[in-house]
Amino acid sequence: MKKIIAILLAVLFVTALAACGSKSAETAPAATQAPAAEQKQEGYTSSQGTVDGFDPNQKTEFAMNTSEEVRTFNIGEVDPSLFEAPILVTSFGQSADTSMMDAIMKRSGVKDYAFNALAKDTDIKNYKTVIIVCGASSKGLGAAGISEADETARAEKIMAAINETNPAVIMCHLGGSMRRGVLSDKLTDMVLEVAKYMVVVEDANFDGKFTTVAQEKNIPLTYLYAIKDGMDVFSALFNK
Amino acid sequence: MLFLKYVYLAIVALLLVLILTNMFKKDKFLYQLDAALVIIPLILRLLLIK
Amino acid sequence: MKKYSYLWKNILVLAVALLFAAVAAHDFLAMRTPEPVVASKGLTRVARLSEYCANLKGTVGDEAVYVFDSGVPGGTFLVLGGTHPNESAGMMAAIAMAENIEVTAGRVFIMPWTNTSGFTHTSPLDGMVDMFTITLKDGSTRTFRVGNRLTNPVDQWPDRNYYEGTSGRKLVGTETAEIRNVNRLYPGNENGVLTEQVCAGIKNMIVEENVSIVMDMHEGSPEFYYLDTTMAHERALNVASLMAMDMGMEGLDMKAELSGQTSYGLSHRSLGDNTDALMTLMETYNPSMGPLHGKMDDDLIVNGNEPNYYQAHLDGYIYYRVKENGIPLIERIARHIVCITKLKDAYNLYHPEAPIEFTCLGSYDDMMQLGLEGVFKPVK
Repeated sequence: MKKIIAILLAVLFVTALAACGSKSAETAPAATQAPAAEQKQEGYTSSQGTVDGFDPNQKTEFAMNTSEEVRTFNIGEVDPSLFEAPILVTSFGQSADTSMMDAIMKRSGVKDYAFNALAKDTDIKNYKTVIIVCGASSKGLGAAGISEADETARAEKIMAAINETNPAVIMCHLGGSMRRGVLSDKLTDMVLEVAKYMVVVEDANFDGKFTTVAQEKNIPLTYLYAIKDGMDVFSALFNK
Repeated sequence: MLFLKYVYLAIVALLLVLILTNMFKKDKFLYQLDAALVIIPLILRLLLIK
Repeated sequence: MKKYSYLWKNILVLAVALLFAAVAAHDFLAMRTPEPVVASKGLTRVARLSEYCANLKGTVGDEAVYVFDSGVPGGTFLVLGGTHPNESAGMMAAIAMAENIEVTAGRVFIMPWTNTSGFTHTSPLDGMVDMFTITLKDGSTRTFRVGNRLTNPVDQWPDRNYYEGTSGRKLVGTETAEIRNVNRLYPGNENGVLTEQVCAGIKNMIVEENVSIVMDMHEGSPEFYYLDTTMAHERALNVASLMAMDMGMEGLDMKAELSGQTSYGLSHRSLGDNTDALMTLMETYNPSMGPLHGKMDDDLIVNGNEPNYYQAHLDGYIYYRVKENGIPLIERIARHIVCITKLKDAYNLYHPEAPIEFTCLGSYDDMMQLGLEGVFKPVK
């Protein structure tokens, strides 16, 4: 009996070692719901390198006004005549969203604009409209070779220049919930003091912050479902 | 560090020889089967197939 | 003299063992044959990586580079597929491009098996599929390999307990095995371990061939945050952002994200820092890579449908918007190819002096219409 069991076990091991794989010729219908075994991968690490510290698995449930079907949602009505060329697009926080704003402007067909993520306070006087893309990124700051303190100081100087020359300011928050945090919110709040219009990817409004500001300060606000939905918004605003 | 790889393969070869020698000394079929099970991956490793 | 009473039994058992070893060896060795590529008419030559790193000559790392030279002066686009062989859409998209591309300005270099050695083995004890098969329009079949993320230890061993390559990344602790990961060792070392030599060959190719822009195609498990995202070196961010916008206009979600300053050894950081090329890397969703998947078979690879992940998404545990019927391989391949095409268009907008023009399989909808059976050519 023992010999039979031993032989059966031996055959089982050898069959496993002979590397039998699945080579079905046809694609099968939907996968089964078998419970998954934990997959151990040799030394697996992210292929993207470092992360900004945001926890994507933290649940944030709130009712959104935008959706796949309803791409934008407005609170209040914006007056396009307030926003004239020349236009400056700059960043508070150096996130990659600033480049997305440059892409929006290009694809919206807006001609008379300048893109400078590291604009200085002395640049502000040359523009009638300033679009500030808010969102702090450690990667962005690192790539720009600028510290958080330096970026905050730059932002404060720009705000002082804005208070002197009074261009029309648009606050853009395009990074969603990922771009909410201590520094991001600090920089955003600076701009909200002077903004005449807000454009926000609605995912960032999980705590109602932007809706509250729009209502309290009477600032027109447009929520976007995704960044690309900003194209129609800015095209309507500047290509009048 | 390439020499380490050859040291390792030498160990595998030595192990293979010892197992074969031992296998041929054994009377019981079960021992021979055990040895055969171990020989398969050792051969594959010695030939650098797996 | 010892008596070998059961000599004949020993020989029989040994013969059976050798037979099993031969069967197993046949299966393992089958993974060393690269997939045939039915290259499009525009193929001008098949280069080898050893042309850029002589130490690779005669090794498994001396991989093929498919060169499509239009003859019209312009920029050069390098497409890297198969950096991680378990990320099937990368290799498949590269092969699909090599079989269908028509280059009309500049040049396109395509490497379907960036880590050739990784395709020769799977992950032990993971119940991994080693190959999957698709049926083409004419009824013939084509088989593709699913490999391991890392170089085969048979080709490169041992893994050091501590290793610092040319990137400055310290491979220690949980990262000791990453000495066999192509995407951790850039810019490489011609005299280093095999994987480093491959990295050096790619870096030298980028420099010697004046490559303008690179896309490194990857996939990630559903738990991974940066799916449907293109990582870009800071010099490439404007091009990647414009591409992301254009993808969005096609209804394909895409984000552009900046490469981390400390992502040492990764293509988008270290090749971006050590060459003049614009470096980008893209990730798509692959349920076969995560821990929640069920049985790994052709269906999971090809159809990308894992109900466990859809449920996890509904329960709020997966950030990525997993679709109910999964995301099939053809959709992920199409996404990669559309991304590369849009990246090329964005590049041309910023660099009109050195344009790269090509067409490949049309739009996303065209590729979905063709399906895997129409995208890949029959092998004659």
